[in-house]
Amino acid sequence: MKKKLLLFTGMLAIGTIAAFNIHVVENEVGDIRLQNIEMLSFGENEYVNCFATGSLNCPVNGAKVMYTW
Amino acid sequence: MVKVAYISVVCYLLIACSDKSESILFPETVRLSVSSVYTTDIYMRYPYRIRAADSAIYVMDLHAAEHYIHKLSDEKNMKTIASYGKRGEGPEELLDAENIRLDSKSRLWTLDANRHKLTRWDSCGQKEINLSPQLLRSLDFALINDSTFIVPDYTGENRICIIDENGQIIKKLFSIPDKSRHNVSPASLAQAWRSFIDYNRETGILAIVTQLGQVIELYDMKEERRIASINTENGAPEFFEKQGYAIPDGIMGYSDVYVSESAIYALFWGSSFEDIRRGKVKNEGGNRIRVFNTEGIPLKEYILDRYITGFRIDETNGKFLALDVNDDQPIIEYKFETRYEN
Repeated sequence: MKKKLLLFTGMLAIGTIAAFNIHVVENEVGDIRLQNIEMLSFGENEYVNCFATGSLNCPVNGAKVMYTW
Repeated sequence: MVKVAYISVVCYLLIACSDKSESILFPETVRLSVSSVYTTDIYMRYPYRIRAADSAIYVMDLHAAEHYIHKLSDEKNMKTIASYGKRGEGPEELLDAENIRLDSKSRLWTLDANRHKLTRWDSCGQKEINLSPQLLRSLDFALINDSTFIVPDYTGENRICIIDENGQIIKKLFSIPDKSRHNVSPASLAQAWRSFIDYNRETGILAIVTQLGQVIELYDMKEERRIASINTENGAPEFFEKQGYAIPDGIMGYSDVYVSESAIYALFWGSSFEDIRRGKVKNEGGNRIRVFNTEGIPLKEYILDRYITGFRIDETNGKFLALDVNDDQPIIEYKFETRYEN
């Protein structure tokens, strides 16, 4: 019983560490991609920008967009 | 050693369950699958609101190409009976449609936020009500009766305004329940607390749900008092101010709400804006319908197999119509159990 529990805990720990690492890699890739988009479209990033089609109200022009930044 | 293992498992489970979207606990969760898919003879870019009356279905297209509203026959193969709200800048045309409502005579109403007016259609034609200039960009409305309306207040001074048939403010009521953000302007706070509303004329209960958070407010309009504010501490809209505007930085919360005589139904998305910006959110809409009683007590959560933007609840027949904007045939139906254990 003890061995089974220890084995289960060990597997849980390995799984958690693996999942965390995958998440970090995804975030790093996403960050780089996002930075590029920001540089292309936001300039100094001082203005409110609205992106894509959605149901969120763009405060600048009232359009319905996916997100604002 | 065994104790350490037990503690590790408990800690892991606590961390895994600490997601904010789970901050309201429901005594029952039910998974639902689509029971019917309706076909239509009209293409809609972003169907967002659906209503029904007199054997007809009304659907509002948020990103209409030509008309914002379509009246469809209530049958498996829906046919277009009429279209309303031509898109344009001319007389009797709309620049925008935020919601649609049907009054006691089944007359169709809509709100154009860009032209700042309410429009009603009946057999005699079209009637327009220009809204008071004291109202800042109204983004939803509900009917108290056929000539009095509720609109959320975007000045940030109050939570809602009551409007008469001439578009003038009769009174302003209540306040935004967020007491923690004193450092932002009232208008920004009102933008962040942008909400959808629904009102039940029989019970006099008004529900307000936040689009950028997880707060649900219930008000007794007959007694002009707040009944409950659900999840105000953990679910308040997250945002930052830029150029005087509120920029959402938390989650897409609720997108539609319905108040029946005994329950509140709220459609919840739960997608974080970080994930949306990174392109990780693949479906537009939400797949959770949260049900509360009229005191604000959680009753049940339905988890749908589709992501929807709006719904029309039919408690009498135990079914609801929903709009799946991600599919070419967006009008779908679910069957559900309407009895709730209070």
